Amino acid sequence: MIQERQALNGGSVLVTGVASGIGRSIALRLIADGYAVLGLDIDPSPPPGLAGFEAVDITQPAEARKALAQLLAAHGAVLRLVNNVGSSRRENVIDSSGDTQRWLNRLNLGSALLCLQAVLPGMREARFGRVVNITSRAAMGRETRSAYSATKSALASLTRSWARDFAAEGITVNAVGPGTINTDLFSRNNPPNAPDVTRLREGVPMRRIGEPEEIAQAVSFFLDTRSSYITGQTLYVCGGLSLGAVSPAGNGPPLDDAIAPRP
Amino acid sequence: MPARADDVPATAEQSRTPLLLVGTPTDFTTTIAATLSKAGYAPVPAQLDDIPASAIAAPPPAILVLPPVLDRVDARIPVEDFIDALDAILVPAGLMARDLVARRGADQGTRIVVLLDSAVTGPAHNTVAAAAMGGLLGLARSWALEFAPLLVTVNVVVIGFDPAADPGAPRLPHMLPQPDVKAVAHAVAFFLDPRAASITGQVLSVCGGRLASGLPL
Repeated sequence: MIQERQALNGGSVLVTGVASGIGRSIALRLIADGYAVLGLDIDPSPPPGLAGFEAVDITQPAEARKALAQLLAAHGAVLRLVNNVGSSRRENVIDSSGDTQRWLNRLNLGSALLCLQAVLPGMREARFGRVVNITSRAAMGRETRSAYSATKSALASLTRSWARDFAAEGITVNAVGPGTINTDLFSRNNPPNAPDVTRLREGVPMRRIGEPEEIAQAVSFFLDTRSSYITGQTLYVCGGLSLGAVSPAGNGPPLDDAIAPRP
Repeated sequence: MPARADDVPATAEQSRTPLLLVGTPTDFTTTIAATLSKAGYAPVPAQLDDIPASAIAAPPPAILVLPPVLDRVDARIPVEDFIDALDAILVPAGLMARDLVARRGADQGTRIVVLLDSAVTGPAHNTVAAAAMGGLLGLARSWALEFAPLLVTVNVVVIGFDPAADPGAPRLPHMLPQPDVKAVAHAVAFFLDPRAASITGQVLSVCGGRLASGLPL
């Protein structure tokens, strides 16, 4: 099965934000899938096994264009792209100065367009391409992170728009929307037994925080050659959180307990 | 209490509900404002990046954010221009919410309605508008969550048609007739109504069915 997948897939895939967190897990998964993974990150410590890497601040378009050009010159056309890089900042609306929105417009949205423009000529020539945008469950709205939510909702709209733009050329554009994921950054900011973590976990229907490898699983699916008739879709990988916000009690006990006869 | 957004007699000016109309007016949104005026609102125009000091000092109980007017630009746009376009819309929108709602603190029922056009569904060759409308949608839904404790509601009405762009479009047999501007105004008035106090974070497309499934919620 793995050999079949490698035969079908392979080739280069560009992953942004590859040094840590979800991006790192995506890269490692795609290497295991048989891809030649090219990475971009501001952090010059990529995961092992990449075929190519450029350290660059992707919020600076001119610098990022150069880095992309170097990767493409060295490795040829890239027919798969994972727009993963992104960040967030906790900020109540009352504290906003606009700076967070400006920063995230560059990092979460400008980077996606920049990378798309870089790889698009090769995809068009090959009449084949796979683009996966990493959005977020927060695209549906998130208090204390409205600027972040705006950029992820925008990326969801762009996913649908770009899917329509390029569908006739064999290029699919889909999105994966993570819920709360156990990245290194999350762990550093949220000790395992902190009240906030307990509240977050109990608010998820599956009662657990997701793992980065579970995001990589969805990304791998969309990148697969056989996912050729799927475009413009968003797959939430969130333990059911996208079903809607409920109080922890609203998730209910496991069914066996709920229907067990009283002693 | 404002009346229905139909052709009803105008009320006396002093009893009308102030309605801040934020954004660049078009013929379409001007007609919406006129309809809401007949329904008991007193529209006060403002630009997204230039909210009057008087409105900040005494925020109105009703705010209607108009959809930004954007040229159709595809994915070939220089990234720098793309970012500038988003900054010009999303940054002042956030500051407007800060100045008119968040800094006001405990509130007694401000109603915010954000009007978006169908670019939020992601039409082809419309990169800037898709991102801008999608961004405003994310802001509106987040404001709904963050402002709920202040008793402020935030809802979205998606205008699912552009009669100016396609006035002669044939009626599709499996859809309702093209809704007119009064149908959009009616939806706006519904969300602005004080009786809609427990409705927030919702997205309502007024489209005659044309956007059904076009906007995953």
